[in-house]
Amino acid sequence: MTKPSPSVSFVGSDERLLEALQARRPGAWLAFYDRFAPYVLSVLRRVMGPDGELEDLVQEVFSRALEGVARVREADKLKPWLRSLTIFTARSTLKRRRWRRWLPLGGGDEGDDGLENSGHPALTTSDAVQERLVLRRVKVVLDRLPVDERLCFTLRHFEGLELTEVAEAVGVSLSTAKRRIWAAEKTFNELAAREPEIRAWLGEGRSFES
Amino acid sequence: MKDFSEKYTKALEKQAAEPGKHGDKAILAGARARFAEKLHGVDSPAPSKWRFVMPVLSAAAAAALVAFLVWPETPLSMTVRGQPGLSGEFIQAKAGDEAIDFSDGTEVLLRSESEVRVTRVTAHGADVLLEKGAAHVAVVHRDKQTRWNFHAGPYRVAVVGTKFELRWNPETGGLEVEMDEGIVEVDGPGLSKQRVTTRQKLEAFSNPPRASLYLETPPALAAADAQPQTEPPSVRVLPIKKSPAEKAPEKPKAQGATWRYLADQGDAIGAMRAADEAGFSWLTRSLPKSDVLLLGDTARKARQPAYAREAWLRVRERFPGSDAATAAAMRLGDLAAAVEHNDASAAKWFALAVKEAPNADTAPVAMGRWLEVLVHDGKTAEAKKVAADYVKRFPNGEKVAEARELLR
Repeated sequence: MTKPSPSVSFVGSDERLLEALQARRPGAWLAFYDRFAPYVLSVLRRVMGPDGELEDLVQEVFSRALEGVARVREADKLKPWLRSLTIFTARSTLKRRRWRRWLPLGGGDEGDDGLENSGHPALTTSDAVQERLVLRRVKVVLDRLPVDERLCFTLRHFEGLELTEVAEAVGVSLSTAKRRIWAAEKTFNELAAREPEIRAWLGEGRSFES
Repeated sequence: MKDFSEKYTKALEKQAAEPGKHGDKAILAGARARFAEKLHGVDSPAPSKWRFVMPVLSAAAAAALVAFLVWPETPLSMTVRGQPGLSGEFIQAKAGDEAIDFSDGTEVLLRSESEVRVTRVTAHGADVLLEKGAAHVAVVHRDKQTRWNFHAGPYRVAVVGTKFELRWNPETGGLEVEMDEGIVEVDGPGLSKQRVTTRQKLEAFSNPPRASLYLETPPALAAADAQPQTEPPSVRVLPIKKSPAEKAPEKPKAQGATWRYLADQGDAIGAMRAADEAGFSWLTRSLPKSDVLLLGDTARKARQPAYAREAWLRVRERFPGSDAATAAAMRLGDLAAAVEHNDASAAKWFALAVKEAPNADTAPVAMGRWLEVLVHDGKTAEAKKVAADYVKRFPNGEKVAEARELLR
């Protein structure tokens, strides 16, 4: 027998939502998804860059959440906990992709990078084409950073987290987080400076390091 | 860095707001449907404290079971998203898109200015008539009984677990089926069970009957890296399967050998279609081991993991103890980890690859992957054992730093 998946938004507080999740009330999980999935996707987009597997990753984060929500004690920890879960999922995927390059499978499941031209009129202007190219080049640069450094770097600079939040999200000490960000900035600046498309897009005379 | 970060995140946000499958809207809807599917059986109330009523409830459950067996199954329910309480067989999207959610997680996103009529709902699917316009469909395949049919004019699109965009213009009699993933079969004027699979697009007109099938091949990432993407993805025209009435009686049978040629050309989807025509299972039973391995690799590239698994399992069955059997174990492990998200199964395959060929070149890779999936699966004690063995056997291995860190 199937049960209906409620489409009515849950209007209670995070406390009520957490109670409902832990009591396994019908509909609480989809309400949880509706409330937090846009945030999870936003974090994933910033950490992964344009990526053809974002849907898989969002689904995976919430599947992991199903198993772990019983351990969340306070409602105000719900969002940071989910953010850590998101980072953990992104990290696993990035590491797995690195491993996969070892195997002689000629590609794998990364699929497209989510930047193909859909043919929509708004996406075919020269600016939009240039922007997609830059996004792709930035992704190539990010892919060359060590995974743990990339996570700290993107959370700090693209997601805009405080240093303490970065450390908490990736589960390391503040000094380790700082060290990783510093190392990633150095590598990123070096690699990005060699990319003419990125330089041109940023504008002459403007630097990454400013 | 601040200037760059601001500009880059704005560009990312623009991409998120784009229409199409990589926009936030489509991603969130797709992931929601799959999550809803996973919730089946999880999203139920916690055990009640009123245990003393259990005997009564047991009797009621027995009665319910009898009723379940005697009465017909409950059909799926449907709601129009954002409009609680509103559901019905005729739905019209006026200004913007309207999402129709079915209780099995299936979603029909009705495009603006479009109309659908839900003509029949069963416990395993529904029949939906697209009166005009377009709809993006994401069907959740629950089991073998899942049956979804979409009708548009004289056409019928039979679906099993798939995502696609369907467009119908009643004035021109024109139909378009554009696949995101999965397989549908289309019947209608000039078409008989015409299969349309991932990244293919079918265009058909009812009067006079004619149809074209296209394969859209996105440019390779490396090529796209080298130059701006100013050209659309390449499109190849594929042969259309003729309906029985139009079929030439002496049409030669398709030759299965072409799958190899197409695979060599990098056309994995075409190669799979050719292999399918020749009989995929027969090929796995008759080809030499290197070809069966390649057939599996081709299926994997074509995103048909079940076929890939079949081919590689066949290698292990037919050629036990060979290098190819170990290579197949590696591939099965990678498939389990990356596609099926089954770390336990992946660990089993990688462990087997290590055991079967402890001194082969593949051993450090297999052991490293084994270690990785154990860590990922939270099997720390087992991972430590493998890490210790890895450090001892491959002190210069690529995974040695992580293995040492784990042992600290």
